[in-house]
Order: sequence, then structure tokens, then C-alpha cells
Amino acid sequence: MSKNNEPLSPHLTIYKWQVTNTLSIMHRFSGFTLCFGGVFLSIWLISLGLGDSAYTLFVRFSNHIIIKLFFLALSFAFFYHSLNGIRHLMWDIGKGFETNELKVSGALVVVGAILFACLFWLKILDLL
Amino acid sequence: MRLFLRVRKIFGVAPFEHSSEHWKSQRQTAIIVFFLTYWLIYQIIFTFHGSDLILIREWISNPINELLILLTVIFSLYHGELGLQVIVEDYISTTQTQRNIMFMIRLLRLLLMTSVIISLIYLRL
Repeated sequence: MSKNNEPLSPHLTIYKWQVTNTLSIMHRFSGFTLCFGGVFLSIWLISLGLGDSAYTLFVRFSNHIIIKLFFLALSFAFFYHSLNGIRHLMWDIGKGFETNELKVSGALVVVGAILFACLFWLKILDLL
Repeated sequence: MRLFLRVRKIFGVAPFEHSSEHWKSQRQTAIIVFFLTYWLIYQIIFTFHGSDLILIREWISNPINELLILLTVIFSLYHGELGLQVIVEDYISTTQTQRNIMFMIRLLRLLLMTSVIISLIYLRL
């Protein structure tokens, strides 16, 4: 096996935790979760093409409590990843690097994600 | 030729991207996926109302909806692969293992994408 010369990322277990690196690892983790969301979206469309019985099976599968909990996690992951994505794109054009800006934008993203996800579920469950 | 390469990348039939090429693609797909997924969220909230099959069939029979949902799947899977590549490169130390994992991810992406395309064509027939 040929070893890569690049260094490995700092190991999370020995890294000093701060607001910025917590939000950063959350971005990665939410993105990872969203990959499963993409798989789920694809399976939904495939079941739609397969016909009535396949679709009924898919709906029954998605009504399982574990899948419902996954949807809940997915919604938070989605709103967090999409909002924090804007933050990342702002950095890419060179804006928002000051420490206080980082903290404010980070807080906005977290609060915004929770707010959006709550509004989303209230709307879905016809409570709003 | 550059356009052709771009189309190949979108459909997952191009080599894995690295450094600045990867960086650019990741940002471009991020912006595209941002708009497409918020469109999907809008549809889930305001037009789906549960998962009623007849309603969904009617919704997807609109060519605009069908095209946009297809683009959502294609670009989400592409953006997801680019993201997973970074994770794999960060936490897996051997180049060979990295390549093997990326190959499996690419295979899954192609499988899902082609199945969705076939499924959507089938719904049109």
C-alpha cells in the first residue's frame, strides 16, 4: 500500500473545541447525513416509476418510526447545511473573517436552521 | 470540448476531480443545489400534502416539475459525491483505499441516477 504524503486532518478527539470548528464539523456531518437524503429522494422517485405496490411499500417503509426520526434529523441537517453553505460562499469571496463576524454569522446560522426546521414541521403537520 | 467535459462530470462519467477543479465544481453545484432543494422544500410544503399517489403522479406529469426534480437528483448526487470525496481524502490515509471507496460511491451514484432517469421516462410512457 502506497502512503499518501498529505497530513491527516486534526483528530477531533485531541482538538481544542471552539465555536468555529464545532460549526465546521457540523457542516461536514450534516452534509454526510444529506447524502442519505439524496439516496432517499432517488428511491422515492424509483418507487414511483415501479408502480402502485412499490410506492405503497415505500410509504409504509417511510412511516416507520426510525425513518421518521431520520426525516427529523434530515430537516435540521438540510437547513443547517444550506444556511452555513451561504456562510462558506461568503468566505470564498473574502467576506466575514473577523472573529466577531464569525461568531455572529455562526449564531445566525444555528438559530436560523432551528427556526426554519420548526416552521417546516409546523407547516407539514398542519399546525401553522 | 470543455462543455462536453462539464456534461460528463454532471452525469458522473468523468475522472474524479482534484484541487482547483474540485473546488470550483463544489461551489457551482452548491449554488445550483441550493435553489433546487429550496424549490423542493416549497413543493413539499405547499403542493404535496402527504404522500397521496394520485396527487404525486399528477404533480410529476407536469414537465417542469419532472425536469426540476430530475435536476435536483442529478446535482444533489454530484454535490454529495464531491463532498464525500473531501471526507474520504481527509480521514483515509492510503491512496488505494481512498480510490476504492470513491469508486464504490461513484458506482452508487451512477446506479441511482440512471434508475431515476429510467423511472421518470417510464412515467412518461
